[in-house]
Amino acid sequence: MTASDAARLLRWYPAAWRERYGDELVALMEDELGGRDTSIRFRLSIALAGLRERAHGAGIVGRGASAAERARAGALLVLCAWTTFVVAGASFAKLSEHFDAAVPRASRGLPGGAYRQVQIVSVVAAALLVVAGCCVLPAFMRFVRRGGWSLIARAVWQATVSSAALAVAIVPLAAWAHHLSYGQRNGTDAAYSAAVVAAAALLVAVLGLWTRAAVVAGRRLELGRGVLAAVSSLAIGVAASMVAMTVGTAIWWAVMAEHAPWFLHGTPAGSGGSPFNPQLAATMALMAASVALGQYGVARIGRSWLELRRATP
Amino acid sequence: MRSPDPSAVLRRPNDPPVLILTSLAAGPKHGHALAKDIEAFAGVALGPGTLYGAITRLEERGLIEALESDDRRRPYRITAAGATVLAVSVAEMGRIAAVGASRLGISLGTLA
Repeated sequence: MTASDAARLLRWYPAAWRERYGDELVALMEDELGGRDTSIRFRLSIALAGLRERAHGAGIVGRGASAAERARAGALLVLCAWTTFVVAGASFAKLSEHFDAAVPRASRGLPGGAYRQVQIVSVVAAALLVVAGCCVLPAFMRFVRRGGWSLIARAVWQATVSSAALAVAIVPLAAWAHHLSYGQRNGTDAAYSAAVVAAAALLVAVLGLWTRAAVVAGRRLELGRGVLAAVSSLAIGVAASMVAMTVGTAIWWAVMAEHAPWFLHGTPAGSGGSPFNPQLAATMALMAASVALGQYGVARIGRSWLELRRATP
Repeated sequence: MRSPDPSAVLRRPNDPPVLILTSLAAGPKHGHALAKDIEAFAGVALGPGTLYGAITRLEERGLIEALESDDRRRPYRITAAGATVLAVSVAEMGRIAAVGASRLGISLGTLA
C-alpha cells in the first residue's frame, strides 16, 4: 500500500477522526497488509467504516454526539427524506396527469379526494419547511457574518451552477414541447423523451445539491434550544405529512386500479388490465423509503429530546 | 463522558468491543497486536476499519485509553470503568453459558 493509497482511503473518514486516529489506522493497515496491495474488499471495508464514522460524527447513528446534535441530525435527515419524497411526488404528479378524464364520473370521488389530500398536504409540508427556514435564518445570518460563508461556499456554488444549467435546459425544452402533440410529449417522440429524462435527472441533481448545501450549513449553525425545538417540531410535521401523502397515493392507486385500470397503462378507456404499473410501483417504493428515512429522523429527534428533558432539572 | 452501561456497550460475546476489552484485560496493546490476539483467542479476524471503529467508541465512553507513544502504533489500555463493564459482561455470559451447559448435562471445563 502506497502513501497515496492510504491518504485516499483515509478520505472516507471525517477530518477530526483522521486527525486523531489517521496515523494509527495507516500503521495498522501497513501491518495487516505486509507490503501487499489493497484488495477491493479491503478498500470497501475501510470505506464503510469511514462512512460509519462520518454518520457517528454527524449524530446520525450512535450516541457519541450530544443530544442536541442528534436532534439536529434527525431534523436534517427529515429534510433529506423530503428531498427524495419530492422526486417521488413529481413522478406521481406526472403519472396522475389528467386522471379525472379517465375515471367514470360516478367513481371520481375517492381518487379525486385522495389526490387532493396529496396536494393539500404537500402545500402544508412545503409551508412547514419555509417556516423552519425562517426559524434558522437569524442563526444563518450570524454564521455568515462570522465568516462561515467560506465553509459552505463550495456547496452553494455547485447548487447554483446546477440550477442555472437546469434553467438553461428547461427553456428550449418547453419551446420544443409546444410544437409537439400530446402523444409525442408522452412517449412517441424518442428524442423528446430522452431530453425530458435528462432534464429530470438534472432536476434531481439540483434538488440533491441544494439539500446538501442546506445540510452543510445546517450542521454548522449555532441554534438555541428554542429554535432547535421549533425546527424539531416542524421536522416531525414534515415527516407526518410524508406519511399522509404516501397513504393518499396508495389510496389513489387502489381506487384507480379498481375503477380505471386502463389509465394506469395508457390503454383505451374501458379496457381491462393489471392494476400493476411499474413506474407507479417505483414511485411508491421511493415514497416508502423517504417515509422510512423521515421516521428514523423523527425517532432520533424524539429520543434526543427525551434525553434533553431528563437532563434538565 | 457517558456513564458506562454494559448493556449499551457490550451485547454479544463476539462483538468487537467485548473482544477488544478482553484482549486489553491482559495488558496494553496497539492495533495490530490487538487484532492478532483477538484472532488467536476468539478466531475472529477484525479488519482495520472495524477495529478502529470499536476503539473510537470505547475511548469515547472512557472504557479504554491511549498511552503516550512516539510511534504511530499507539498502545491502548483498559480503564477501571472498562474493567467493570467487562466484568459485568463476562459474568452475564458466564451465567448463560452455565445454564446452557447444565441443560445439556455437560461440564464447562470439558469444552475449553
